[in-house]
Amino acid sequence: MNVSFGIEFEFDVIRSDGYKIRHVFENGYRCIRGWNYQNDHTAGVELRSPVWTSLDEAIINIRDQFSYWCDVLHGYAPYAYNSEGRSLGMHIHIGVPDRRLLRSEKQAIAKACANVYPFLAALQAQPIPSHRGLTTTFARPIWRYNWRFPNEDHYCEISDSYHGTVEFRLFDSNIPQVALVNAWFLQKISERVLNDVNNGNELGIRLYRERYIRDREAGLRYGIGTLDVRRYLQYIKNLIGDIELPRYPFFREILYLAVKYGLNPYGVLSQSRVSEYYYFKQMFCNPDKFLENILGLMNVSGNERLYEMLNDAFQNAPSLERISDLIALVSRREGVPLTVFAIPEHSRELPSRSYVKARIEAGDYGIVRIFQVPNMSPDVVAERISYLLRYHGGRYVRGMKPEEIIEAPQRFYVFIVRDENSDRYVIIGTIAVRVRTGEVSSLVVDRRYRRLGVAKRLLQFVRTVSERPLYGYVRRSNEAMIRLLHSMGFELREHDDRVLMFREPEGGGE
Amino acid sequence: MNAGVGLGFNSCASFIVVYDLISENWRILRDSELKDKLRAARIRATSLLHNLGVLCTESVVLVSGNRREEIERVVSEINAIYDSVLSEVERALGVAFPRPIIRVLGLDQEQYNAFRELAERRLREAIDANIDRVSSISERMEDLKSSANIRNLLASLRKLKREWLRIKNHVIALGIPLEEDIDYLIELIDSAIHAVREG
Repeated sequence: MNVSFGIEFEFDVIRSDGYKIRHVFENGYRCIRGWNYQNDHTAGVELRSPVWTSLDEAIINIRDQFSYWCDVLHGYAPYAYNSEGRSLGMHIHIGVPDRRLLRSEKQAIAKACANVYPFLAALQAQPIPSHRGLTTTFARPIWRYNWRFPNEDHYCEISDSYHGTVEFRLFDSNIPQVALVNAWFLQKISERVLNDVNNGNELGIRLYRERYIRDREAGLRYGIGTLDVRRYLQYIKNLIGDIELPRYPFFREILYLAVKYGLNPYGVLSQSRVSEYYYFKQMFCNPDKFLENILGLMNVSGNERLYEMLNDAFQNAPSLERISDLIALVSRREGVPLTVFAIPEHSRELPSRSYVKARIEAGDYGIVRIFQVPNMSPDVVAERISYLLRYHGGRYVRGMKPEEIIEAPQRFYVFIVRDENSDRYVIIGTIAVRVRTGEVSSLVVDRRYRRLGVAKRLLQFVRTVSERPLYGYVRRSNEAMIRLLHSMGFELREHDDRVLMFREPEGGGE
Repeated sequence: MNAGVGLGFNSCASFIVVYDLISENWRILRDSELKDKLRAARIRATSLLHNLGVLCTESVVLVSGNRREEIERVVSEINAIYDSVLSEVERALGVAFPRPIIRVLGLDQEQYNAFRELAERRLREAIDANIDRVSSISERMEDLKSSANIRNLLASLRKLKREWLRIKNHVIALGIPLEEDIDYLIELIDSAIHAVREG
């Protein structure tokens, strides 16, 4: 089945003297036939491409549009870069040329493409860390929607567009070349998916959620070098076959640099120290080329290492014929690929143990329900609880997904402390209790803050809300917890060879 | 060089050892293997001095009173190390290098309280940082287990444990009230080692 694509280009504007225009640029509406100007107050200019069915068509059309735009607006060029406080994207739409996609088709495309989305987004991230991907409200992560995607919410990072397409919104504003590489991969994956869906085959694709969260964070924050690129390429190859890569120089050069050096176009721009005006003008007006555009602008002196890498790519990228050549390039890459486990923001840069200890001793803490944490959405609170259960709970604590936590019959309370340094509340422990029966089903404290009385305070608190005396189970090996339960007057009984049952005497202990 | 030691400080409850060692960053040593030798001497000397007690601030170590003989032994050992390396440097290059300065001062109660406060704050920060570090390792355990560096990780955790066991002994001897916090840190390290081994 023929799959089409289109791109929404959001960008600011740069003048030939380097001055950047970061508000709506009134004259930016200039379009050739087939293109649309969108009046968007969040971008200097937003232009929407026509529907394309091939890379050839897209390249010619982009060249015509932006050559015209730069000619008419002499002395100005698109500035496809997110400066501080900007959230400009390049949204790629995937559809079919002659009709709207069915919901089932959209779901199949979205799921198959989601498995490579962190890799593609990292390829297009600009700058790194990406403002758009990490902080914007205009491309919200799919787990915020309980993994129901493509979502009807326009701002979901994989949204169900009213144009009858699937819209991939996470991509940073960047040069057209990198968006075209991503569009090609999305197009080829979608072709495979639609062929199977329409032939009644079930591809059985599973989305690796944890990897998605981890790689999305790592790729956008630290760059493509932190991802297991081989795994992504292997996934693509398994799905679409070892097909030939487009012969355009830009296509193979961008992938060569990403795979061999972990360098995306932002990395090239930021290290090359070329004039941004000429860089963007060249790239937008010559979208079939990448290195030729930049090598002509670069001063080699002082840039020897980058020049060496670019020259290597310029010489050798044309010989990358197929996806398997890219995979082979990964294995020739120097050194061991860097792997980073990206700890989510809610669990990063936590206050020190001494600080928390002082706050607790001063009575400056709170025990609240999921939806009562100041300045933190219930989704984020549930994510933090899920994280605590998974990574701080020990092997016998049952892990729960954030959506399960929100919908669980037991009531979760969290222990919060205000971190003055980061001006936010941090969750340092959690307890789950069934109020009607008194069952304590989870009690976990971040390792950093154990032995500070957090668990004791959580137990004391749920005593006051439970309608029945508290009871629960504790591992025999958890000596600290057993000591605490004894000190609070709980009775402990045999349950099995690994676990004891604890119960509050009728009338309360302590 | 070893002023203070053996000079009537037997009655002191504690000492501070202040030092200034000789660095290898001399232009004349550039591209010379003597630079590596001098560097090795500095690292060894620093390690010996730090092992005497707990650091109050840069180049100042607080040492409990019952380690007087140990201080003497360490100072002599450092002198011997530097004598050996510096005489080789001087023979090879014909340039006289300065000798390291190590001074040992006995403390009265007031002085001890002041230095103990410095050491306690520094240690507390180190404990916090290490608890955070080991907690992060435990959080990343699944990823780390799948990496090839599992042996290095185990070795570094064991080394960390040894280091904190050593500090704990000094803390007890010096009466710094951080024993419980160090115990908790060691417990965390033990559980991380256990988790790595299980992999």
